Amino acid sequence: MADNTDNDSAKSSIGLYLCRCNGEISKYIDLDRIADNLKSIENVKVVGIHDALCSREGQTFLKEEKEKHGFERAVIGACSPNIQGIIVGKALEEKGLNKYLFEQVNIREQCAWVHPDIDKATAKALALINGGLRRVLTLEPMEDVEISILPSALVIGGGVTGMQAALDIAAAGFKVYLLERTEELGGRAYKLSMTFPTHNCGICCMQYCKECVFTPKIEDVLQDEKIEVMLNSEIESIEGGFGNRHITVKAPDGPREFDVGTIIVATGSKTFDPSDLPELNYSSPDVITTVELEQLIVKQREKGGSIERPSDGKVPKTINFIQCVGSRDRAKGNLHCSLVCCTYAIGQARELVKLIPDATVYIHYIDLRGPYRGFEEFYDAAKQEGVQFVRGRISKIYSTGGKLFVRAEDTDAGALLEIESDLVVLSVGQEPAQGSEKIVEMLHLQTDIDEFIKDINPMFPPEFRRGIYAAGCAQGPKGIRYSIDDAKSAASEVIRLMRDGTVKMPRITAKADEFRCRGCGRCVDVCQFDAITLIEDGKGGQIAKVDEVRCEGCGTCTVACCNKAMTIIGYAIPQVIANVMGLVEEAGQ
Amino acid sequence: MKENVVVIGAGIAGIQASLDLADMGFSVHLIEKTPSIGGHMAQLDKTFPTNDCSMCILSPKMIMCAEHENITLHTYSEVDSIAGDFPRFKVGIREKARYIDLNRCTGCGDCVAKCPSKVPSEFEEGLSIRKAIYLPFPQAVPRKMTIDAENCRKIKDNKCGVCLKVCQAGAVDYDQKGRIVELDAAVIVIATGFDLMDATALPQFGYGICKDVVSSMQFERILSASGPTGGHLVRPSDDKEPVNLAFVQCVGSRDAKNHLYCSSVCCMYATKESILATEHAPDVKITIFYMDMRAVGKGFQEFVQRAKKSHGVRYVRSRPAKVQQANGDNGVLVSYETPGMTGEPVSEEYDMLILCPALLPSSSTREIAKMLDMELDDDGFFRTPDIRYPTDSSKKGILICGFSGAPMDIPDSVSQASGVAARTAELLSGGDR
Repeated sequence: MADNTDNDSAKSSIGLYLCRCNGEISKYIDLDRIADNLKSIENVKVVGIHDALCSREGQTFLKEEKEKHGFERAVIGACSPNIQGIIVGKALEEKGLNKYLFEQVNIREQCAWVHPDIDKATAKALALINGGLRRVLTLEPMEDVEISILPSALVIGGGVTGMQAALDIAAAGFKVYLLERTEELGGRAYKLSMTFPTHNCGICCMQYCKECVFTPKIEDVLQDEKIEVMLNSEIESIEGGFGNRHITVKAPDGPREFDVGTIIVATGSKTFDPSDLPELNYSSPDVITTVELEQLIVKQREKGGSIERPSDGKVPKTINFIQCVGSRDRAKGNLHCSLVCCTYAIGQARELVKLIPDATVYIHYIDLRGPYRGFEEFYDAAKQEGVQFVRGRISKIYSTGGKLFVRAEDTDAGALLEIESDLVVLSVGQEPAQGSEKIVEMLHLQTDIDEFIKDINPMFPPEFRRGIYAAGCAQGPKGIRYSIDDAKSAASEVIRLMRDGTVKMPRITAKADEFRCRGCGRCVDVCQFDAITLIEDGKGGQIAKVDEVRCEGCGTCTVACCNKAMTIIGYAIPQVIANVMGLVEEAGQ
Repeated sequence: MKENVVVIGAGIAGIQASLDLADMGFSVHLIEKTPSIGGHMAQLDKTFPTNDCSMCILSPKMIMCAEHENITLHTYSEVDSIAGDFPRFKVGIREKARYIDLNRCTGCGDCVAKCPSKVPSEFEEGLSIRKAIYLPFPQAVPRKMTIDAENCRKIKDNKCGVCLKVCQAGAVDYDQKGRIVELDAAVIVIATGFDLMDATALPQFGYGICKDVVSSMQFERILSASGPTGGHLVRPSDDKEPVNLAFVQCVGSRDAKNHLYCSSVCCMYATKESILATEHAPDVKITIFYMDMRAVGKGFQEFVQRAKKSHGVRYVRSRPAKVQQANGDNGVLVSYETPGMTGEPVSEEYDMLILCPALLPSSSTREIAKMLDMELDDDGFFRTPDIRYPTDSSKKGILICGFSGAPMDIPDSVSQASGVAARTAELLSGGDR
C-alpha cells in the first residue's frame, strides 16, 4: 500500500495549501516559514497560502489552483477537519481530485489556539503538516459507500414529539411504526391540566376549554392508515445498519418484526423521584409532586368542588411550592436546569389561587427562569393574583405535632422562615425516561453529561446520523412548543433521507486482509455493530468479511485481531507509520 | 418545476430555511436588506454553550447558500410589496442600487483603499470606520462592493469619483438604478430577526455618556480576532486592558416601562463573553449584575457553573440604579443595591461596563407586517397562535422562524428554520393537519 507512489511522480504530485484563517492561524504560526521549508520536498508541486480557504474566494482559489497545477493529491493546513474539512475538500473534488487523496491537517485548534509561542507553534505545525504530506502519499483513491434507505420509519415513544413526528412522516407518504411503552398515547402532556402560557388544558378534554386543540390529536394518529401504533410494546432487538434495520418488538400479543430505513428516538423524560432526598419528607401524604398536583386538579375538574389534600381531604389554605427539586444541584439529583418547572409551578399556583381564593401560595425559587414569549406577563399576573415569590432554597420539610412545616430562607429579605403548611408541592425536575438507556445502547448513541441523548452538533441540523434522530425531551428538558419544533425538524430530515432513497457515506470502515486473516472470529465477537461475519474462503477455511454499511469505523476489531489482518481503510499500519515518520522527521530537527 | 418560496431575512434562520427548502427542490428567493447575508451571527465571536467559533459554523452555510442552484440571492434588497393569498402570492422585491456591477466586481478592495469618505462601520458596531464604498466584513457573501450613496461624495455632490478611476474591472457605475423584481411565491417565510435596543434611551446606564460603557454586541466585536482591536481586550477610552469588568443584564427588557418580555439569550451570552474575556486576559475580574440567571437549555447550567468555578465570574443579583463617569475620563462608577441590603447603595468602580440591551423585533418586522396587513403582538413580534404548528403565522402560507416570532437562541432558530421547510412541503402537498 505504501510503496505504489514514489516512482510515479505524476500520480504523487501534491498541492499544499495553508490557511491564515483571517489571522486566527497566521497570528500564532509563521505560515511563510512553513511554506519555505516544505516547498522543496519531493512531490510537493505547489504551495499556496490563503486568508480563508472556507470562504467563497478560498474555494474559487482552490479550484483555480487545481486546474492550473493539476496535482493528484492535496494537503491542507487549516482548522479541524471536523469543521470545514468537508467544504474545503469539496472544492477540490469538484475539479476532479479524489476525496480520499486529501488530507486536512489541524493547525488551528490543536496548534495555533493552544501554543502562545510563535516559534514553537510554527515548529509543531511544520511537523504536523510534514506528517500529513508523508501520509497523503500512502493513500489510495476510492469511492464513497452508497447506502440505500428503506422507505419506512420507526418512532420510539408516543408522546407529543413522537406523535408529531409520526404524523409528519405519514403525511409525506411513508409507513411509520409508532412504538409506545405504556398503554396509551399522549405521553406526559396528556396528563397535564393546562399548558403555558394560555392556561388551556394539555390535551383536548372538550370540557374545560373550547379553543383547546393545541397538541397533535391522538385520534389523528390512531386513524392514520400509514401509522401502525404499538402500545405496551418495547424494543427487543435492533439489527442491521444505516438505512436498513431489522426491528424486533416485544408486544402483548407476541413478538413483532419489521424493517425500517430511519428511526426517530422520542423517548422523552421522566420526573425526578424526591424520595431520594429525606429532607423533603416526601413520605408524608401532604408532600406531593407537581405531577401529582396535576392529577388533583384534573380530578377537581371532573368532580367539581375544591382541591382536597391527600391526607384528610381538607382544602389546603397554605401551600408551598419548592422549585428545583432534583435540579441545579449535582449532590441532590442533577446539575442541569429542567427548563419548564418555573413555568408550570406558576401555572399551578395561579390555578390554586383561583380555586381556593383565601389560600396563601408561596413559590420558593432560586431564579425564575422563563425566557419565553408571554412569560413575564404570566409571572406578573401571578403576582397580581397574590402568589408570593420567595427567593431562596429550602433547608427541610418536617412534620411535628401533626403539622407540616417548611424551613426556608428568604435571601431577598435576609430572613429565615418557618412556614406552617397544609400542602407542599415539589417542582420535580426531569431526567431521561426509564428504559432510554437501553435504546441508547442498542442504537449506539452517545449521551451528554446530563445523561440525555447527545446532539451531534447543536448548531447543525441533523445530517449524517445514520438515519437515527433524537427529538424532544429525549435530548433534554423541553417545553411542548419546542418539542413539536424538534419533532418537525427531525421528521423533515427523515423524510428527505427516505425520499432520496440513497446516501453516500465516506468509506471509513474496517477491512480484512484475506491473506493474513486466519478466520479465528475474534473480530466478530468484539464488533458491537454486528458488522463482521465469517465466510468460506473457498479453501476449506474461513475469513472475516466486513459489512460496509453496518461498520462505523470504530477500530475495535483492529485491536482484537491477533494477526494484524483488520485495518481501518485509510489508517493501515504503513499509512500511520508514514504519518508518524513525517512528524518525527520534523520534530527531530 | 417546483414552486417559488420567498425567504425574507438572511440571518442564520433565513439561511437555514433556504438551504433546507432548496434541498427539497423548491426554488428559493432569499431577500436581505444589507449588502451581505449572514445576519447578527456573523458578528459573533463564539457561540454558547460550546464556545464554537461562530463564523466557522456560519460561513460554510453562507457559501452553500450562494452556490446552491435552487437559491437566488437578493442582497441589498427589500420587500416592496406583497399581494395575493396562499398559494399564489405576488412579491415585489426592490433591489437597491449598489452602484456596482456585480458581474464585474472582483472584490479586490483597490477602491476601498482609495475612497476618502469614512463612515462608522455597522458591522463593527461603530467601533471602527469603513469607507463609503465597502465590503461589510471579510467573509461577506456576495463578496462584492457596495457604494453607500448617502456618504459617497460623487453621488451626493458630484465630486471625487476616485473609485471609478482605480477599479480595473470597470465595475463602478454611478448611474446604476435600483429595480423592482416581481415574482410569484407559493409560501413566504419571514425571518427578519432582531435589532439591539439603543441603550442611549436609558441614560441611567451611561451608554453614550461614559466612554467605557459599551453594548454587548460591541464587546463581542472587541473579543473577536477579526474585530476592530484584533481580539485584544481593550477599553474604548484609552485602549488599555481593563481589569475590572461588569455586565448589566436586562437593560430595557423585563422592564414594564420599556419591554416587558425577556430577551432570552442575554444571560447566556454574557456568561460566554465573560468566559472569553478571562481567556483573552487571564487577570480580568468579572461581575455580572442580573435579575434571574436564566440558564435554560441543554448544557447551560453547566456553562454558568464553569464560569463561576473555573473563571471566577461573580454573579450579583441586582439591576444597577445608576452608572456614572468615574474620576477622570476612564472607567465607570456603578451604584447598586442588592435585595435584603440595608443602608446606602453600594458604589463600585469598574474599568469597563457592558450593557445587555433588550433585543427587539427588527424594524423590517413592522414594515412587512404592515404590507401583509398582519397584526403584531404587544411586543412587536409576529403571532404564531397555533402550538401544533409553531411556525404558522395568523395568515395561511406565511411562516415565521427565528427571532421574528419570539426571542430565541441559535440552535432553536436553526431547528425552527428546518421546521419551516417541512411545513412548507406539508402545506403545498395539501396536508394541513
